[in-house]
Amino acid sequence: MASGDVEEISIEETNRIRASLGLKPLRVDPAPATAARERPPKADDSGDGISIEETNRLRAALGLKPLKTDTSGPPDADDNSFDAQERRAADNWKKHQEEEDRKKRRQELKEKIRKGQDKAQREKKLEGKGLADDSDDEGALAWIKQSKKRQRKAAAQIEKDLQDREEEEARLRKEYDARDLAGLRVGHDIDEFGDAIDGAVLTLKDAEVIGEDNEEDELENAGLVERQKLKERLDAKKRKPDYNPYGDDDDDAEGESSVLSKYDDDIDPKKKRKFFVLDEGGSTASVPSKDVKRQQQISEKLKKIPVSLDILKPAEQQSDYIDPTTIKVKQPRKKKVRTQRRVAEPDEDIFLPETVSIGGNAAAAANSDSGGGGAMNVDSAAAESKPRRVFQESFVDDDDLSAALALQRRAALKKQKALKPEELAKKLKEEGIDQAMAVDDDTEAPGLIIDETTEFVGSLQAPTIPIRRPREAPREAPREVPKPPAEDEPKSEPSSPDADGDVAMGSTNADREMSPEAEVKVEPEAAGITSTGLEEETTIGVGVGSMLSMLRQRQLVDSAMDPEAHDKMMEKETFLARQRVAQLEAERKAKAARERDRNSGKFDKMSAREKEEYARYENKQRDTQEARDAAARFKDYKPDVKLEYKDEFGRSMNQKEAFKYLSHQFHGKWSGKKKTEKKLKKIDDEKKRMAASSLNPEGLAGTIADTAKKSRTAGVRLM
Amino acid sequence: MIEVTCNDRLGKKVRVKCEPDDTVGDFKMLLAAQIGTSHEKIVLKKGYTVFKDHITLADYEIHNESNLELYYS
Repeated sequence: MASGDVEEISIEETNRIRASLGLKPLRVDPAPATAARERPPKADDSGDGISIEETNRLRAALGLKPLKTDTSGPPDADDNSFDAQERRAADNWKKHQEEEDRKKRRQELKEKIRKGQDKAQREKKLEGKGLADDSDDEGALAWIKQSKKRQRKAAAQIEKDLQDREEEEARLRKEYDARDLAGLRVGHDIDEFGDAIDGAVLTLKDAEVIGEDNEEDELENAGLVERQKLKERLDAKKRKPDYNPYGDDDDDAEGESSVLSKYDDDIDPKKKRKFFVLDEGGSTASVPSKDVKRQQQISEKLKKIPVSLDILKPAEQQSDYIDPTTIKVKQPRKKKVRTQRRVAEPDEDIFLPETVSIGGNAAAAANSDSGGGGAMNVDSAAAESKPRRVFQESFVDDDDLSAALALQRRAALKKQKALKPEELAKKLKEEGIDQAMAVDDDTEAPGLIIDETTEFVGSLQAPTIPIRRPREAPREAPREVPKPPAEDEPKSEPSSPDADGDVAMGSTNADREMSPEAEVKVEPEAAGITSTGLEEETTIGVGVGSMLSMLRQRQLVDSAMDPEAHDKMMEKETFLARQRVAQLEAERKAKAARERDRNSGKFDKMSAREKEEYARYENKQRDTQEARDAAARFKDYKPDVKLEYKDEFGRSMNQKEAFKYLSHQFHGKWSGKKKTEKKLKKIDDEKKRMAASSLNPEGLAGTIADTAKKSRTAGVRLM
Repeated sequence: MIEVTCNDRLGKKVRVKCEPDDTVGDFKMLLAAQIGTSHEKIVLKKGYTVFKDHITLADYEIHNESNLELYYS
């Protein structure tokens, strides 16, 4: 480390530089900076360069604020410099603190005041004369004299009180009579006394000292209570049933019958106690007895029910017979007689369609039923009925089955509309026109019959060589004829079936793709048929073209590529090429850049870490740049994406297999033994098939291995 | 006005006078004027903290008499 040689420039110089940079000149607080400097007296070469005025001029030129000396400038509110901010912050803090202090002081004051008030209040209670404050300061003699007076006063007071009390007691004692019993409760029913009510002694019932508030004094007769208790005890011993089905006449008046009335004593012993209240004179005169009570209740009930006095009026004339019009009688519904469904149909319907229909089954049905009769076409019937009848006889034994079959057939026939000859002709004509119209789309002249047979035959592939062999010569001629028209104008060829059922492939809608094949196939077959009858095998060794044509012929390669696919390929190629070029370019540039950096020598000054960082930074930049370029390149290229899934054997999988594979991988669980074996077997078969079919002639009898096996030789002699 | 010392440990130790609300970029320019290199090549650090150009010295809490490390990029 250098030994403290600090380079420094003066304030003025600094200000000049600042002015040139466009910065505000320094604000000088001469005290702090210089004070700091005075401490370590360092070798200070540069003295004061320029004066403050010059500095300020520079600063003004720069747009900086002039130097802040102590005198310069009042504290500006807009001054947002660091120092000003700090100053403002300090001021705010001070203010804040003062506020806090003031608040605290106020609080304390309040507390003090409150405390004082409380104390005053407390001490107010203690005002007045204390015990020892009686002092009149008269001396002992005076006190003795006064004490006697006091004593006399107290005694008088006591006497008076005593006398009052005695008087009251006396009063109470003397005047106690029946009237004092007014309103007392007696805890029995008046009827319980019976005749012994005169002279019954009632005593006060035991009650709790601190009882309920509404508990009045109650009188009771000890004997009655005992009797009641005894009765209850005996009843309990008798174990009478709780429910008396005949009702209780005694309780009826009071309506006691509630559901759990037998538990009332346990729940609330105070609940319903029969009692009566003594009247004003303390007697039981006003208490009504049971009979009287009952009478009262009955009279109340009767009063409630108003009875009209019109009962004296004679009743209306009522006859003993009912008015017949008011009677409603329900009529039984007539049962509908269901007519039987007509099962047997007239036989005439069946006859006509028979002669016309193409499907021959109806004839059989009609035959069997009507016994080969009447209005049928004799020839066809005769011809058909014989073989059919033989066939039918096997069913005749099984009557049920034949009946069922007959029904079915009739139903089917009914569905077919019974056509009259004119209608039939019209129908055929229509069909013909439709077909002709269909054909007209691609042919000039109608006349080609297109129906299932021709379609089927048309979709047949070219017949294999062995079948052709015996008939090459005679067929050549007709082959040539259909060939040119098939090429130019696929005219309607009357579909004359050959002996073995082959039909010349007239162009049908479905066979558009096949027609080039047909042409291709036809040509070599026509041209290359040698004496042996086999076609001349195209020499493959010449070029790719012949190989391609042979493969096409055998349909192992798709025939034509549409121009779109070709364009797409070109695009893809160009894009890839561009990509590669760009990549190389980028690599080259990176290398060059690195070389440059290495040569520039700045690596000497950087530590290892810094070099790393630098390298990382550079790489990042490069990557981002490359990414951007790649994105730009991708913008106008629209690739044709086709996903291909390959399994572990390298086979390409269809969607189903691919999904299965994915699932297995995901769950980590593959198929069991049997299934995998099956799969492997399938793969092997496929391989064998592919291997076998690639360069062998197709068909059942053609394989080299088969012929070898047949002839029991090791190989096949090629001709 | 504060004084900040920049030391690059290779013999160059510079004291720069500036304001606390100068940005680091301005500071670098002053420093560049004083030491003679281009201000774009100066990197100021303190430990692992690299001082960014758009932040003021006050915000970095660079006060009077603080020391900064001077590097070159």
